[in-house]
Amino acid sequence: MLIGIFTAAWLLVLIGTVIIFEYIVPLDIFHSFLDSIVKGFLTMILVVVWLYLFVRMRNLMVRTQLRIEKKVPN
Amino acid sequence: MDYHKEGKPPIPRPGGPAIIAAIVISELFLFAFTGSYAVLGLALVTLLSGVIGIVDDLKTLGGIVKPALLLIGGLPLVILQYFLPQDMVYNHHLYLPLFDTPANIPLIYILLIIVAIPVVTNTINTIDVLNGVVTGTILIASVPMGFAILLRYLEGKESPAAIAAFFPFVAATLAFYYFHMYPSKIFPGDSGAMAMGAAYGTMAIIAGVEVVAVIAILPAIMNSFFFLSSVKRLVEHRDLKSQPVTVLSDNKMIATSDSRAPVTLMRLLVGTQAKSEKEIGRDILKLCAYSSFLAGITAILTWVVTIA
Repeated sequence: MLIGIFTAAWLLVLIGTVIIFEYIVPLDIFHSFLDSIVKGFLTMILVVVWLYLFVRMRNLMVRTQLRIEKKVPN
Repeated sequence: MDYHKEGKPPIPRPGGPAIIAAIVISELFLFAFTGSYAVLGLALVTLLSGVIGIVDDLKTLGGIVKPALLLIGGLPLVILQYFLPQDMVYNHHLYLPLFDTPANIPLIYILLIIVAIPVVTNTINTIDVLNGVVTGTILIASVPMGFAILLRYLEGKESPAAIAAFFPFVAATLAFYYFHMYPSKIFPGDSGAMAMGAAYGTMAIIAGVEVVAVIAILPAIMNSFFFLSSVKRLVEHRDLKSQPVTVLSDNKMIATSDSRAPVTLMRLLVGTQAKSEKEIGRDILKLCAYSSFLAGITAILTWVVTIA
């Protein structure tokens, strides 16, 4: 299971860095400061997607590997 | 005190000052012989982060103060680069797998350095959980890093000084590993783990092998991420209300079922079955070996496939 998670994390790191540094950073659509805003926005979206996928992976690990006691309300 | 062993034997700590001295003095000697400012940068970053680690060993810094202080760790690289002719300390091109042309990011790279050094330093510090794990992780991760540096050198993109800088760092870690491996005779403390982390991060920057270096320490990164995403704040391990594992009477460890405990790599490894400290340490190092294998593939995809 952990090996699968690490392989997925490797792919995410590779794909994420390539998208950011090869496609988003060189963007030059408006030839003005608007480009920086677009780049920042796109990078943030990618980072949020990235973190979401990592959290899903963590939850999958927790569900399959750990036995966690649910808090019983008083 | 070694909490995971019978009778909790006292173990001397921190061994950090010895690690800092070994890396800094040997790199300064190398700087004197080669005149490479990249090597000087490596020595300064290690010294600065190591000193912050010593302060942390003597007077425990908070979960927010420590990373904040570490932000100054990467400054020597940026300052040296600013006052010296272009690219004498680091190259602001980021080499990515499967792309011939590296990404040219002069301004973003400065920001990356300032953020990356404290992140790597802290990440390496958080994997210092059991005997020999942090030193073993660094040594295993150094294999693909050395391989990537060699590929860059063969391609004519790296100076011999960067290769030379790699050896004192690895030699210091290897020498300490001899005393830190299971059963440990000494602990590195925060100072040792942070000095090794800072040196590792700086080595990746001055040699231009950042992506490979990040992938090689994926177990440490995932451990940090699991911890932060479950605790949801920057906090010292000592301040946690519930620990991730419970030590049984036979000194084996098993994951706690407490929902307040953080999710860590160690907790996941003992989730279904109790294991001894030696077994857990070996499992973490096996994961490091696998990540290093993936990092090796990344190095090939970056410097062999693109040339071919």
